[in-house]
Amino acid sequence: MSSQPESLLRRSQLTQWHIAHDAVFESHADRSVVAAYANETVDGPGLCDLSLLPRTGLKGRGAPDFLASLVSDLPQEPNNARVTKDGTIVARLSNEEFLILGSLSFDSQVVADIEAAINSAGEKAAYPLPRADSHCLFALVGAAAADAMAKLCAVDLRARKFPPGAIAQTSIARVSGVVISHEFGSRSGFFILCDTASTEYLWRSIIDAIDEYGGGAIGLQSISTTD
Amino acid sequence: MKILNCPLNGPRNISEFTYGGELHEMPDPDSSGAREWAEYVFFDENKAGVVTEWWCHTATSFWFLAERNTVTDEVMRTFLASERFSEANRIEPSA
Repeated sequence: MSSQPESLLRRSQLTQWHIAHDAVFESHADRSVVAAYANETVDGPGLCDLSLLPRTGLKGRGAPDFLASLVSDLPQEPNNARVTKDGTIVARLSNEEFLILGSLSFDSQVVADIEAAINSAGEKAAYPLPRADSHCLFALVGAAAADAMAKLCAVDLRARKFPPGAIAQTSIARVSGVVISHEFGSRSGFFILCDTASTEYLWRSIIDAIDEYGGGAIGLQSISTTD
Repeated sequence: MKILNCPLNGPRNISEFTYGGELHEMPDPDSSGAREWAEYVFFDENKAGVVTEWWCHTATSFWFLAERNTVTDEVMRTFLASERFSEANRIEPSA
């Protein structure tokens, strides 16, 4: 099957940008994801479009207990994230709200399992907070990522103040978003989410910010090979 | 820029917050008249001094309370709404 975005059901809002920048696509089930760019030589921070990564969320008074029955070792405090053994990222956004990002291999069933469990459990346990279509998702990877983000975000994201697992729900380039500190293999970086309506704006803003540091767009292979 | 301390997210620029008005004691909906109810909904005391106000951290839609001196614009403290609203006041979804 072709991995070109036109031939697959799910493609990123940034597809036209990716095509214009000579992206090479790969398919993950019905999703067309940028594997790399033809001339991908990035010295500084790399920005990767992960908008098609499976993800979901849940909220409600019963959410912690409900999720604990499906995922072990939940973060105990709000604004903290944990990585499970299979690479799923479980982010606690408040006492009663969670965001779950599937592993970067795109083959995890955890997100689908959680969504199925919520939908079959009824309203009392927790209510679903789908994140796949409501938010875009980027990964910003590299040593100077925090320096570049300082141009866009008022929260100190340097590693000593914002270690892996820390979460900041704040304003990024004047857009409300979520920043999750994460170690991509040996490289530090961030997951960045914002409302899907601002996808293109935020992408271009971050690309512009990291250009000063020799950064640019990278594909999924660059993220995966850092493991 | 002014900094406000969100009880959930910590110190943030004031531009991340939305003011939600004074905290009013809600009159009993069953026994209060139209005038009393209109005052509750529409009117503020506008007191010169320390008042308790609603604020919302826009990025998380998180509402909390702040004690602020309206004369000096000093924020004494910010705290969770649960400090003032007991579990009994929580509106449960209908079965």
